[in-house]
Amino acid sequence: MIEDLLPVLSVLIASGAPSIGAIYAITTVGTTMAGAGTEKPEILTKALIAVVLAEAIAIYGLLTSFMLVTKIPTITTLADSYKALIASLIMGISGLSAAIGIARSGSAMAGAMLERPETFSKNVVGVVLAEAIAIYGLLVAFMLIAQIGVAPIPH
Amino acid sequence: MIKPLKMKKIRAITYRPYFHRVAAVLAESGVFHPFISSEAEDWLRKGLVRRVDVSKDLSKIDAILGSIDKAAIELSEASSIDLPSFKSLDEAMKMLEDIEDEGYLCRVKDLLEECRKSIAEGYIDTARSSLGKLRDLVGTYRFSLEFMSSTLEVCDCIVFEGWTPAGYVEKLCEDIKRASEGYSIVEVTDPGEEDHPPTVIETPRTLKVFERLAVAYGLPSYHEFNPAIFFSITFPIIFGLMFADVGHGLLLLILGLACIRAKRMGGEYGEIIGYFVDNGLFFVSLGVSSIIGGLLYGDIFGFHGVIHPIGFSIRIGNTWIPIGGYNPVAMLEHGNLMPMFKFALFVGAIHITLGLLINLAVKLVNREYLEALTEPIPWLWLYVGLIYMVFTLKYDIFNIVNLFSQHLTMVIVALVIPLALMILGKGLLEGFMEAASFTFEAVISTIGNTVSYGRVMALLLSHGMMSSMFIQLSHGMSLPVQIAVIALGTFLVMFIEGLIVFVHTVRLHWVEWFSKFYKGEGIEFKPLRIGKGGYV
Repeated sequence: MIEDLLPVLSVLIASGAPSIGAIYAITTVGTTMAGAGTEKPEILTKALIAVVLAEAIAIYGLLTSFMLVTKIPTITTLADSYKALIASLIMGISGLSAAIGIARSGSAMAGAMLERPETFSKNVVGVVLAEAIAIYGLLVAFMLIAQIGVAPIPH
Repeated sequence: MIKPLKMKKIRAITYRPYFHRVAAVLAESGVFHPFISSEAEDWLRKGLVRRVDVSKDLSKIDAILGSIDKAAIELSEASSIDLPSFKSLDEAMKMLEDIEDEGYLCRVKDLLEECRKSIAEGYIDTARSSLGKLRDLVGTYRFSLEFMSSTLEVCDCIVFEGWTPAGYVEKLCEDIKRASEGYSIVEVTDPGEEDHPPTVIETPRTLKVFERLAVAYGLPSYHEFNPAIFFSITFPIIFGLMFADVGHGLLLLILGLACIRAKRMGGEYGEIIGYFVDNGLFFVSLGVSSIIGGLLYGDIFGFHGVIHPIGFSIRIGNTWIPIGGYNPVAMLEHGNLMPMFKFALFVGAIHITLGLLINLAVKLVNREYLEALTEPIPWLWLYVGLIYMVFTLKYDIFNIVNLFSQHLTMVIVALVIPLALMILGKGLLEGFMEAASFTFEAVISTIGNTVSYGRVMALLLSHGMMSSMFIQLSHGMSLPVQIAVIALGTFLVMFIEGLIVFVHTVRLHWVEWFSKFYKGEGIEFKPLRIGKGGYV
């Protein structure tokens, strides 16, 4: 019973949580960019990097949930369904936290570039480091999902 | 090409009446970057020299420009029957009397007279063109007044300083002497220790797009290397390892070639299309690299198994690192991600080693041998040693007791000696607190940066997954629908995945790689130049 529910639930978490994060980051950065762009449109191309990275979080969620969907037929034991759940939680939590970082630092970056465009190269580090959190989550989630339904590899 | 252009510092003293002519010569040459040296600021503090006050003259010139503009508007509304009044022109004329510069005033007055005469005789077009000339002349005067406001004056002389690329110095000096009819002293010196000359980098035209990407991080300072050259080598390679697909690579290649062709044919394009068209070669290089990546992983439009992955392994320590020879998605399905992760870290290790080598080369070229011995050399040594240890001992590296009892020589050679060199060397040079924090940061950040290259694997997987997702979706559909779904998927992957991989490649270069050798704190070379409207 629960073995059937958990994998589906994990698909929901894996695609849902990063999506919420991504949309939060995109709306936050997007509105700042719209405001900043009315003053200095030339900064928008560079500021767009934050939106792209925010969108990437949703794609990581999509990929994780897709992998989980393909793995569902092979999930037979409770242990495997726990793995699926935890993998989705890893992706979801890391995606959400990355989104918070991108939302704050991305919109601050767009605002800062209004006054001093040369601060971009240093401020963008905050954005990309925040995004790194999501990709680490994706990596770990991938590794965990890869273990579902396969016999342990002998060393 | 690799180093920024050599700069010379010019300091000139001119007799005041000749200053405007000299300024015109400087602006015409387009190679003079004005600045005020710390030495001159010192003179200023001591009261040896004064700043030139031109605010009164500037406001007068602005008023004159205003009435010239007014006259131009009247003239444009005028026809040969309805002649404009001379009111605005007369106003300008009257105001000109106040300016204390005989030679210059003569020319302006002549032009004004000419203009008046043409209007009186009904030659509207001639009047327009001489009014345009007049505006340019007054504009130029305003420009040189603006330049004057950033110079220093002593008695009846104006002192100004600036940077010029070494190749142009001789001609510029001659021009200054000629313009001032010998009433000037010009002194040319090499940049000193504490000077920060502006940077001019010469990148071959084909690599301009990489220059733009690298310089978006920050201009190289005068003593640094032009990063674009190295950037253009590693950027496509790392992109190709993440965007590895023969089919998608071919599409990128075709896009690039089409862009190059479109550029050759000329024509007007919008902003975004124009960006693509300008950077055809960039897409060609990315496409070629993606094709090579695709061959390594045996991926074509997301189908794996169609072409056999080509691969080989190299050995570091006890570890065989497979370079290609497997398909990422197939490996994921088998739950075996270790080879890919090893390879991703290997890519990072190579890239960071390259960055540290460039750091060393910069130090050696600048003859900073002591700095080279205390910073890049031990850093490189430590890094290579650490990588070798990780690949040799694998998980045993966490077994501290075993590490010191069985591999003591390795620990000493790979870790202790470079660490000691770094802490002692830097400590003696800059103090031990600095050295300790630098060493700590160097070690931690380098390890973190290497792990960060794990994204090469994550993005490679997500690229493969995205493409194969649409193939799986299309299973069981009729052939045309299948093709449509896969085409849509390819478009999405090319666009979204391409953008994400691009951003991540940029990020790996800016954050992980540049932190090893590049500061990007250069000053932009902004020469004096007279713009289209007469002044800038």
